[in-house]
Amino acid sequence: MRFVLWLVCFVPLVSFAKQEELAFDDGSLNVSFDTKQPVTFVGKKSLNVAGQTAAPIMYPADTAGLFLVSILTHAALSGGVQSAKLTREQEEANKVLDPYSSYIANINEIFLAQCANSQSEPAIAHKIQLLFGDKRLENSRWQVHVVPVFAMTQNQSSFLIYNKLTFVDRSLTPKQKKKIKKVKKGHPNPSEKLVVIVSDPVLTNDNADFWLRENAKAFNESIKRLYVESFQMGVSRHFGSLQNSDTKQVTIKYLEDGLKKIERGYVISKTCQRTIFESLAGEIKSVPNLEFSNCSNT
Amino acid sequence: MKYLSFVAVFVLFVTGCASAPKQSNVDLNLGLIPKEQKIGLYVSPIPKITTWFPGANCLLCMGAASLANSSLTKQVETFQADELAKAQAMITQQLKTKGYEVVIIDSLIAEKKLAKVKPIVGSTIAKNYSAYKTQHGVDQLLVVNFSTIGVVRQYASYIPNGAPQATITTQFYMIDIARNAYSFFAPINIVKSADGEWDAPPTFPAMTNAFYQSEEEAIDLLKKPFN
Repeated sequence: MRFVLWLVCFVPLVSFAKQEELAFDDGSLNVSFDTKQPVTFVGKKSLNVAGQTAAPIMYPADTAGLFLVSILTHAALSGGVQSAKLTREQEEANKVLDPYSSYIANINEIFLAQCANSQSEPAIAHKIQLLFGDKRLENSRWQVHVVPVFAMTQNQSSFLIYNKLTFVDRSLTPKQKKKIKKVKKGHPNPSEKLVVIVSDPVLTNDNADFWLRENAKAFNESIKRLYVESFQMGVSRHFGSLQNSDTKQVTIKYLEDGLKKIERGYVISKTCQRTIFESLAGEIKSVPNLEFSNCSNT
Repeated sequence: MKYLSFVAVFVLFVTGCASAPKQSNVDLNLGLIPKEQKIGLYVSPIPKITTWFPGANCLLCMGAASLANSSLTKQVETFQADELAKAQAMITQQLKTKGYEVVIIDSLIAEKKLAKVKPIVGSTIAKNYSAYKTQHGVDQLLVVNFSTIGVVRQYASYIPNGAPQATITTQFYMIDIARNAYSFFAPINIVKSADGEWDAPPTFPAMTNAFYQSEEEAIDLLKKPFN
């Protein structure tokens, strides 16, 4: 069974420039998921000119969807007229996922988690104890709760993952927990890592055909790759092995939904095709560069 | 009845004379500008990047608005417009690539020193710009004049009238000196709201992003006529 899973989940791994020993005290990381809920897929609304996003649209309304709204929402989401408008807009944007609905139904968190475990860097994989829903706590210092949300751009060129990893240090005493100050508004929560990855854009005349041909092979591989990479990045960032390469804040320009998106942040790594950076809100983002299509695949 | 008609016509006439005609946008057609013409380029320095509170017009109102937004102002005044600062080099390179000679003009001649002229049909230019031909030897005058760069928040006296917005306003035009008419007229007026919660001191990440998105949009608009 494990062998079958390994075969099914085989995807290229992300390799980081410097992989240092992760700081696990007792050698294990408990990973928990909310397996009662389906994995959330949303249709991402089209960008405005020069890269302003509108609020994402929730597919099934659940825990993951709520957090996605809370991190991406416009200021004026609440309130009668605006809420009614958003519901109609939600329905409209979600239609982009209609061709994929049968494949989305097969994506669950247990499957994704097993892919992450089998395909993660050895430094991470041998330390992961997967807890499937019953939240048994093994003898380990750290526990991480993973909530992934996937989105598709309206032009169907890319999938995105918003993967929220919440790290709990079980070694803290109640007194130590009380001393932890509340996180101020506008400051990132150090125990949470939100990893956002925009997949390499598909540049064909029929993007839906690209994703769905051969029994949705490209779709499945992209979803698994996004999950594994975001998981690895979140864990590496939390334990200090994914550092900013520069302290200077810069403007990052990247592709999303066929348009240029502008964001300020701190570069972690940059290649011809892709930039990984820390956003001003403390998210870790991996995005395709504007000049992505001019790069040769190496 | 005749008297009323006369009054109505009179009022219309006076009103028409009192309101200045507004210059409509003019698209640039480089095909109409001979390559042997020299283009004088003036790009103003980047003004101080800060916050404005229009509507807080009384002295106490201005004080209250400044105090209420002091954290935001502190953050806004750290913004850099490094890309806009390269506008002169960027436009010069674009025009040279198109085959034009560019003459950099360091300062504009004061408007009051230019002779008055009657505007031609379709133009609102009421000054004679031939002094630029005399002094700099140019046939076209291209002006990029940055007016405001920063964040604006509308006020009604003491009360904020909405969330702050990033703003960049720039005069952007080119005058054909021989015809004393616009070859190009497209002022830049960007106002951009924060995407998400704006009120997140001390770094205001959403407002910061809105500002740099505005800067990128301004750069794209400055490049567009010469692409």
